[in-house]
Amino acid sequence: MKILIIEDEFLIAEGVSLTLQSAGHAVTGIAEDLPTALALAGQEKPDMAFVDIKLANGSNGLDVARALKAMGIACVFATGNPPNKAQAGGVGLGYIAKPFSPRVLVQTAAFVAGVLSPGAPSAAAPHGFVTL
Amino acid sequence: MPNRTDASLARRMVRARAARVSALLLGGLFIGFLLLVVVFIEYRRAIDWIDHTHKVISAVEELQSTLSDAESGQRGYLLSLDPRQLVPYEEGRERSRALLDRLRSLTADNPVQQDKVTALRSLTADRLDRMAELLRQADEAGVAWAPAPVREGIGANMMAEIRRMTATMRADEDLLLAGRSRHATILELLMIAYGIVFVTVTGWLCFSTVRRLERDYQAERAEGEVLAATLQENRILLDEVNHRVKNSLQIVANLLRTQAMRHRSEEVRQELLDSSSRVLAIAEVHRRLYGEGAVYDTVELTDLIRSIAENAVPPTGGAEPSMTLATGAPLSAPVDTAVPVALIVNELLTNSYKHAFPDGRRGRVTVDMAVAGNEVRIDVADDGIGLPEEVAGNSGGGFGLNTARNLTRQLRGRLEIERLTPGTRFLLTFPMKPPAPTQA
Repeated sequence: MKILIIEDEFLIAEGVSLTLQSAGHAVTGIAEDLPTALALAGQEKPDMAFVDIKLANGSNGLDVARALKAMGIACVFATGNPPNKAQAGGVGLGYIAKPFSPRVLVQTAAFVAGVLSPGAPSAAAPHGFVTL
Repeated sequence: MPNRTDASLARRMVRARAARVSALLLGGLFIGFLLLVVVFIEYRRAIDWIDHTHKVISAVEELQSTLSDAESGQRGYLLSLDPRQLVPYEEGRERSRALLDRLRSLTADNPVQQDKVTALRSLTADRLDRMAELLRQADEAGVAWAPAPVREGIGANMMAEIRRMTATMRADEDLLLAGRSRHATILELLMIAYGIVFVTVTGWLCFSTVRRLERDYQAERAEGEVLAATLQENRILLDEVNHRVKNSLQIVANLLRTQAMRHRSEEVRQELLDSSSRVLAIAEVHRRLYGEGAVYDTVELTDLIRSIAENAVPPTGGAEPSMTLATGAPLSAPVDTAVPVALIVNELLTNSYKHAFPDGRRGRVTVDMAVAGNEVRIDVADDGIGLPEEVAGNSGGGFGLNTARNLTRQLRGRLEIERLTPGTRFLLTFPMKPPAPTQA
């Protein structure tokens, strides 16, 4: 699965990227703000994105998720400040709260892959993933 | 904050001073009220004495009038010998005696007036006897009676003496009446003055109290608004701090993991991954301690152990976890218990996943947790290849297992290792400490 990482902390983004790659996913890029995220999403057409809420240059993860949803890209928030349902407004599938483990990350990616696959049996949400 | 504290302190001092002044004034009013009761009793007595004096004056005047009426009746009879003219005389005789008795009774408190009443009684008796004697003479002489004794003026002189005496008594009573009226007026003025003081003091107290309360209310409302704003700022700041702590722990864990994945040495890589796992175990505790704008002093242990167990499973591996976390009720643990427990369970699970299932061997790892009295028991077991004999001993094993043993001692608990066929069982037992008071 092609995954875009939207995170302004390089060390977190790099760790997430390596973990996802070691689990067999393709990381299409790391964006630290809204314009970069939109540019990478337009170029690489990822299947999903892990999105932090507080981003660089005043960008907000909720705005990013809204824009990505309009482009048909599923979003999961990976943040220390999880939004509630009212704040998320249906723009994200759910969230994993920082600090999260590699297992939670990999299982969440696998869960989203299942959700996005037409005809795939619906699996239970993994531990650590909260549906919005 | 210092300004608000100073303002509160100043307000408390003003309140205390106002309370002292109010207590003093109310005490004064109470004493004044007691004096007012005394003054009122004295006033009632003065009014009674004034009434009494009026009664004496009235009795004196009536005596004078009665004797005059009796004299008129007697003279009328002497001139006409008409018995009907004697009615005022007869009534006057009886009435004057009654009035003299009344005067004696009324002036019982005044020896001077008593002497005068005695003299007046004597004069009245003489005058009445003189009138009776003339009437007797007239009755005996019939129509031939000549009023020579009348012309002598003896009766007139007696009446003049009686009038002089009653006038003296009346003058004395007038003097007493004037004194007693003045006394009553002074008492009235005292009561009016107290009323004015009472109304003024209570009015001032009410006014100053209401004004102070209004001022305090305004000041406290302003302080409340400042405090609410400060609290909101602190909540935002706390949220920011919590966010940074979570981010920082994620960064440390990821940094170690990234370094591990890029390291060529398998041994170093595993050590770095273990360290990353330990950071995440501590982070699990912290994630539960810091909520939105709040800091909790305890962590729910069942949920924590479940997350530790889930996170300890390698992303790719043969063994699957199986958990039985039977605590009956939520089990809150203070942070100084939760962190060692999280690290111990993480070490035991990491140890099982790392060593129990080599070469793609499949198996099960179980985590059971139960509470017996004040003791918590956490049982971590696997059906892998089992620990070597020397590792299962009291001091065998690597850094991870020794760390688990040391942390168990910190918890005042026990860590028992049992070799199964197949597999290994770790039994952690520790006493549950009551939660410490919240510090934040």
